[in-house]
Amino acid sequence: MIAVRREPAAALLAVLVAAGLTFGLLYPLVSVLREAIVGESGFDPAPLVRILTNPVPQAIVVNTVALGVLSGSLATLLGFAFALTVARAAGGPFRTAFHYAALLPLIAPPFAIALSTVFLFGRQGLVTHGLLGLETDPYGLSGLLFVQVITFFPVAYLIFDALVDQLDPALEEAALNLGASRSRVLRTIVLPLLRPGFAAAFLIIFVESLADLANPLLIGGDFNVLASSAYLAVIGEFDTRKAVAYSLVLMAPSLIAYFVQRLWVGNSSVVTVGGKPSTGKAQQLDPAFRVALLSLAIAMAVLVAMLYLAVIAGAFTKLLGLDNTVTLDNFRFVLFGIGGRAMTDTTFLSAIAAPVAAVVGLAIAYLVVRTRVPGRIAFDYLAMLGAAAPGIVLGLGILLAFNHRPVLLSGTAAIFVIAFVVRTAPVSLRSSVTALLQIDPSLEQASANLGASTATTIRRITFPLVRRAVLSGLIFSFTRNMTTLSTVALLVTPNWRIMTSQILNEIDAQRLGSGAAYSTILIVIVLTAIVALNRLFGRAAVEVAT
Amino acid sequence: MTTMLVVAGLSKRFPNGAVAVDRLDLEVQEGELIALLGPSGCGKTTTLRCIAGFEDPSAGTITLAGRRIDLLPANRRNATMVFQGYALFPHLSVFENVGYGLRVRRVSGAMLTERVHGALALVGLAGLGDRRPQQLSGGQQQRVALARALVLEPKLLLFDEPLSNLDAKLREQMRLEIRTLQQRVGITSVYVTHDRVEAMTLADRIAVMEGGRVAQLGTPRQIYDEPATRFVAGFIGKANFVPATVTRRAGADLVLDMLGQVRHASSVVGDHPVGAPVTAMIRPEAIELVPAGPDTVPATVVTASFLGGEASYELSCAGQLMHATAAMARGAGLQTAGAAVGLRIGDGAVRVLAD
Repeated sequence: MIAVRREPAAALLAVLVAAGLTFGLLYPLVSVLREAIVGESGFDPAPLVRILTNPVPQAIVVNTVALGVLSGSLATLLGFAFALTVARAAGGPFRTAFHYAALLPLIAPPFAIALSTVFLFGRQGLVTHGLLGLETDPYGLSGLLFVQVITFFPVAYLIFDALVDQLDPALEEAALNLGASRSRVLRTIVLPLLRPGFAAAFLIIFVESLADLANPLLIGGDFNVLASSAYLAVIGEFDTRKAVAYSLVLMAPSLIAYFVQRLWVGNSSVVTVGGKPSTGKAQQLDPAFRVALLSLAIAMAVLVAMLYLAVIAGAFTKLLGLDNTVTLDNFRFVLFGIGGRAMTDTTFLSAIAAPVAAVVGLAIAYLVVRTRVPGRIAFDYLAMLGAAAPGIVLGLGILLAFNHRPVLLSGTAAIFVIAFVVRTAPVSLRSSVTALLQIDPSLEQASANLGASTATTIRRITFPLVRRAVLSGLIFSFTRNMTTLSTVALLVTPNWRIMTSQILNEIDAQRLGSGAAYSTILIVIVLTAIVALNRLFGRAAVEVAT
Repeated sequence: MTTMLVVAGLSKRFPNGAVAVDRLDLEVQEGELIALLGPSGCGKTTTLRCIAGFEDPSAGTITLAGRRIDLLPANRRNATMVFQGYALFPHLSVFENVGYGLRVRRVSGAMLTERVHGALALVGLAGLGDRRPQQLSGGQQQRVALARALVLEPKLLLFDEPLSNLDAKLREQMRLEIRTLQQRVGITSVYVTHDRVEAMTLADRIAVMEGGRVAQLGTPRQIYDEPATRFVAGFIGKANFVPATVTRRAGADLVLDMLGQVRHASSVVGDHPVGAPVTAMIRPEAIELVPAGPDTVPATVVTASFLGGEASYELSCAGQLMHATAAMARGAGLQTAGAAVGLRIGDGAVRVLAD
């Protein structure tokens, strides 16, 4: 009550946040649980037990975890190698080129890389079949692993890129000065200091791999994982109970990995100990090792570029690999058919949800960092569930929660906006928390001391200082909304068309060219939005300054 | 005494064209501690980093114990460094930090334990080996850094402004500790600092640096009493620079017309013909405030500050502002602003500079 009296605005905000989280996140997740253990005659977990004791789902669980572990390990190693190359092995334009090559897969719609893998390395692949005359089959674990590693290594790259930058060069100099060779410095100083990065990258990618729906559907072949099985149970067999059972099993490792990452790894970083920036310079690597790293990075960059070009090439040809006739038919089909609707619908919904997610994330961050409202830490963890839960589970929950009274939303735009906001607000929350923690409280105290109200202080001092974080939250949210499949796959109705879902339909119908055209358009929309948002916010910065 | 370190013609030009070190020569004797003293940007840290092997010199050679080391990689130089921010490995314990270099040299087992404990005891940290660096105070971290460098018994110890992160009181204490330790171990050292008191406390000899070169090399007393240039005189302590004219030469000595008086200067840098304008340097403590009289320079007190053991005066004298300090015995009187006084400047206190 003291808090309410002292900070009435914060208390009101807290009530709003609590209501929103309960409605949009807790209620759907509880709905999944309810569906699992409540039958027509009350509590009845028997069907759940029956499904889970069947040997088929057990094999699926093993597949899912194995894929997650392999994907997490390989993508983490690759991301590390890339970050080390950018930081220590490459110079000048090479460094920039590698950096962007590593970031490209982040904005790819979920099918793009799988699609171009089929174009390049599939049964009729341009490279494997056309160039090398091989009979290869990308469908299955190896193809899936390949696609996931390419898709997820940028996540690891970004983590290591930030960590390597924070390493105090004096530590490496000290080790050299004490007689250690360059490879020994790497082994005994650099690697141990980056250990939290390895753990974080592995766990995050593990969660992403588990949640991945698009790639297993497209390139998994007979290799079934939990996410795709849950999706197919709803779409193919109309068996929500089965989907719910898979979802619950999928939730467990995802949540454990996610919260281990947040609670344990997040707090164990030793990298940012040094206070004052050091004057030293980063030490060069062992020459032979440097050449090896550069070769790997060049090969990877070329591969990523090829995969992207293949999507575009695939969009402009009849069927890349089989019939390479140049054509605009794919775009005609996509833009003037259902695709045009999907384009505007998806962009509209994403654009509505992105600022909401950014503001919700910022609001919760403000509660957590700057107020004394009781339960604020609980808000933080609750909100993070939206990112920790696999998309398919969240989608299933939202479907179950809002397809009946009291809140009947199926088929409306609101259901998509809720899904998007719940899914992407956590990222905005994290970047806002970091940004707020970096602002010295004395700035806000000075503002209050000069007579500004809390609202004025937030508007004139706090918000301008966290603007970059809000912008990155906005961009992330919009990009994710545009490119997600797993969250919305179960929510699509003829009322609102979603591009990723349309791509899935095209691929199901063996119209790979159309799928590539969709993907190309999606990439163009996302890139345009990123550039536009940067411009918009950049100009705002200038206006504030003058 | 043998020469341990020889730096000859050392130059360091950075890719942006900036010349940090410019044909620098320096010789350090065995067991000696030399301080490289100068303002920021004078090249002292770059010189140290060239010796350690973190920067590649553009020209020149570095010889340690008779062996060229400037072409060796940084990890083969046997010149250990105490870093400015200590650079303690945060993921290793204090023991592991100190033992790091020994492990690299394949020392292990009881030998390693004994030497690490010995080094920790030497710096007064016995029993803290299991701690993490972050759990120690700034002064303790400083000692770990010192132990880590000393335990290898290097040919040369390098210090890169090691005390700049400590508060004034601790700095004073560590200064004396480092000096005592360095003398006990007898290790040849190069110590970079911009703090003149630190340099004077610690060093056998001081190399005052300016513009990438050694402006003057000498004992603290030589540097203070007989500075070679105006820059050195001003950097090592407070100094009054008074314009004067040479009226007569008496052997190596000069007779000056200074502040309207005749002064005999025997401490002279450079060759100055009769009639030439010169700069006379006088330390503030060499100026005595007395009642105005025939053999004194008339002056007016502008400000008078009581600083405890001494008094500090700003004086207006022949249109020039002069600075004087006087030891203050308990209860001694302080001149007041506006008072007319006489300045007594002994002949031995005047040094004629080249510039």
